[in-house]
Parts: sequence; C-alpha cells; structure tokens
Amino acid sequence: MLIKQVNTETPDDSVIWQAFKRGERAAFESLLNQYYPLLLNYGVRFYRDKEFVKDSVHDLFVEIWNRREHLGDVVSVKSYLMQALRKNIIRESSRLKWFREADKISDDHDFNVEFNIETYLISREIENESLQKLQSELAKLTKRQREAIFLRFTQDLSYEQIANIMSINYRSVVNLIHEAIKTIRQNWFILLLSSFLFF
Amino acid sequence: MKNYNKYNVEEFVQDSYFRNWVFDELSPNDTFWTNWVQLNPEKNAIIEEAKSLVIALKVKNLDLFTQQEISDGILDILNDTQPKHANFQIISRNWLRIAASITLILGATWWFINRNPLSLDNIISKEQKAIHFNNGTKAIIFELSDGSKITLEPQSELHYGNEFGKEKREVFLTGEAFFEVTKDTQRPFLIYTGKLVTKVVGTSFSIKAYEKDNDISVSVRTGKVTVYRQDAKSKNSQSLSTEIVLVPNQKAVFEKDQELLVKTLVDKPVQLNEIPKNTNLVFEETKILEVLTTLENIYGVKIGFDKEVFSKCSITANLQDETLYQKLDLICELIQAKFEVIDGEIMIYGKGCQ
Repeated sequence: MLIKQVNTETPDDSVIWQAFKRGERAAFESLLNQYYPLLLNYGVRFYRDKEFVKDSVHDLFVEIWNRREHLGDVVSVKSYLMQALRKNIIRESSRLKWFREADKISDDHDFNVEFNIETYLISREIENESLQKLQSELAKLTKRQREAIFLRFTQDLSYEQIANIMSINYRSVVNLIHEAIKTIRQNWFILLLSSFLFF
Repeated sequence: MKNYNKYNVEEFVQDSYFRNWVFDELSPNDTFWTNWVQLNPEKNAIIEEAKSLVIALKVKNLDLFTQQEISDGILDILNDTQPKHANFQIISRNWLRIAASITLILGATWWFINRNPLSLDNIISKEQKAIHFNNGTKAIIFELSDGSKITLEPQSELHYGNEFGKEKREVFLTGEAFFEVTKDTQRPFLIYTGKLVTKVVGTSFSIKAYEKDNDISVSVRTGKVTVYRQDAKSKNSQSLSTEIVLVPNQKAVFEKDQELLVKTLVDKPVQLNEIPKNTNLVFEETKILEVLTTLENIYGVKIGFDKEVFSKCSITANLQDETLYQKLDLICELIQAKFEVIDGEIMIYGKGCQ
C-alpha cells in the first residue's frame, strides 16, 4: 500500500509552530499527526528496530513539548524534526551497539534505502548485460548518496534543508545528488527501461 | 512560471511539479504537462529520459508501521505530555531500556558470584523456577520431568517455570545444549532463545545460542523441528519466510543483527541410524545417479542435480570413511562438477560427462 506523503510544507507550519510554543495542545496534536508517521518511517531507515525507533520518536516529541518555551523559531518544522531525530538515533544506536557488542562507537551509520528499480532488477534474473550494469552501478551508490536522494526526491526537501539534516555543507549535498544522478544517467539504456519496464 | 524550455534532464528531475506529474499525483484538472509536452515535441527525448530517471530514483516504501501502531504511538505521546505529567518525563525510554539491561547483567553477575559451584542442578528460585546452569568445563546431562534428556554445554543455562509439563513444555536457553525430547504430541516442546523459538514433538537436536555470538543455530539429528521468530508467531501472521521446518542434518541459523533466518546443512552431516540394508559405499563404475541416491538415503539430505546432464557419468571410488562433504568433494572432482548447499539441500552443477 502506498501512502501518499504530504510533500509540500503547508504555509501554516510556522503558525502551528508558534501556537505549539505557546503550549496549545491542538497545535501539538496537529504536529504529531503530520510528522509522527513520517519520522517513524525516516527513523527505521537508520536502525531497523521498530521499537527502538518508536521510542526515539516518542522521546523527541516529549522533549520538544517539555522544552517548547525555549525552542527558537524554525524555518522548516519538517527538517527541524528530521534533523533532531537523525542526531538522536545515530547517537543512541551507536551507544546501544557499543553496549551490546562492546564495539567501538563509530561515526558511520547505515541508511537503508532501496530504489524500486533495484527491487525490480533483483526480482528477475536479468540476463541483459546493460541492465546488469545498471544494477551494479546502483549498488555502488554510497549510503550518503542514498540518504540525500531520499531526502530530495522522496521527502521533497531543499538542498539547504538536506544540508541541515545531514550536517554537511550545501555544496556537498549538491555534489552527492548530482553524482548519483550522473552515475545512473551514464547508462544510456535508461531509455530502454522507460519503454519496457514501466509504461 | 518557470521557463521549462531551457530545462535539461537533471533540472526536470529536480523539479517537484514535474515529479508529481510522473507519479500521477497532480489533480486530474491539471493538464499543464500534457499540454506542454504536446506543444514542445522537440523536447520529447529529454522528457522521456527525465521521466525514467524519476522512476528509477523512486525509493521503495518500507511500510513497517501499521495504522494502529501509529495512532497508538500518538496517543502515547499525548498521554506522556499531559501537563501534570510533564515534569516527570526526564528519563528517556531508551535509557530505561539500557537501565533494564544493566539490571539484568548486574543480576546475572550477582548470580554468578553467589552460585555454589557444587550444586549445578535443580536450583529452585523464589519464583519456583528451575534453573540449570553449567559453569564447569564439561557438558552436564540431566533429565526433565517429562523424561526429555538435556546435554548442557559449559557456560550455558536452561531454565523453566513450575508450569513446565502441565500444558506446554517450555524452556529458555542461553548457550548451547543438545536435546533428546520425549515424544508427546499433546504437549509440544518449545525452546526460547532470544527472538527465536524452536518447536518439537519428539526428536533430538542441538541449539547454540550464546549471548556473545552473532547468531543462533539449531541443528537437527533426528525427527522434525520447526523454528520461527517469536514475534512472528505471536501476531498470528507468520509467513513462510519466518518459519522453517528442519529435518535431520539440517540446520537453521538466525543472524541476530540482520534478523535473518536461513536454512542450511549442519557442519558435519552424520549417517542416519536407519541406514538401508545392503548399502555399500564401495562403488565400481557405478552410475552417478545411483551413487547420489545412496548418499541421499544414508544422510537423509536431498541432493539435486540434472539427471540428463549427468546421465553418462559413473565413478569408481571407496566412500566408506569420509564425511559427507569430503565424499561430495571427491565425487565432484571425478565428474568435473561443483556442489553448493542451498536452503538445506545440496545442489550439484556441471557439464556432465562424455
């Protein structure tokens, strides 16, 4: 089942945020309804433990409610929440990992994104050489590239918002996405795909 | 209005209005793109490429959370932020989880220290649970009230409640043990190891589930065993991929990190007790079909191969002493083939013989 995501930030977001900061429950509820499912689905891409992600999103909302008076104005509520959750999850998961496995805390994190085209290619035993090449090109995309593409094209966020969320600079985001698109485009047979696979 | 006439492929891909059109997410009244495409036929190639890129870049939906979970989660947050409770929300949930595991580990440590090393068996705690812990260096063997025999390896623990045997036979294992379960179809025997449950009726098999290991494995010697994930069964919705049926010489491995349950063969398949009479493992110019069927019968393991392709192959060999894998290595060398273990079965590949 595909749940259509609300792609564009509603202009009311900043109004709701102000109301939320004043402690209006209705505003808080509206933030929850709009962003709770989105954050869950974003969270599990880092750490595939549903309970862990639920707890993390729960904690995040409880925290912003408790600190609402001290929170600043935000440009985009969506990217603010995504950034906060991302930080918490990466921090917590490496701590849990360390705790469970007595391993070193590493800065490296997973980001679980699979493109539909990959699922398609993997689901069939592709014998076409050029399709195999596309598959191997897609497999080469880095976690960061995948995350950037996800934020850009599935979450419809701007480069600035993505830079914020991923804590990297604007230029890096542009490069990550541009390189990823280039990798895929270089394979001329993408045109073939459009005619055979989908339409 | 944006000047789409000057757009290149990547710019189209980056345009969310364009993407919405590709995914058919615009309102039916919005005919902008259909018109634009008609008015700009020379841009057709660019549009087509941009379209296919947009589709290629579509991320697969995870859809892990049900509508119910989402609404429960929202209610939870609303409850926990009720103005009167707000001040008590200091400890985060994940901290509580860690605190709980610390308690558990502390508890376990306390228990290790306080254990009397001489009385390894039948410790009845206050909850009237029986705990068997082996802190020696050799395996210990004991019987449960239903007659099932357990061989518990060092640094392993088996415990069960006082309800054991009444309706179900449920035990919890950390570490490694070999089970010889007394047959009782009315009361299935269930072994819990972390997220994995092993269900048996009457059979013998071993389980390895040390906390420190990254995987849990269940190896079957005789009979039939079902292995499944605990969460899968409880939701009454277990799919085929989460439940595995094992026959002798097969093994299930559960990778804790990936939460993957995989069927394979035990490391050293043993000859089954009921070897057919007149079975001879000395072959002379014997058709490969016959050799492999003999091995199938002895080990109870399926061996798959293309009968057509290998129809002309025959071997001369004495296969009495080796392990199954050594036997297969030798056979494959003789007929220029390879073998693989897939899903608890053996597959042989090759080009056949002249």
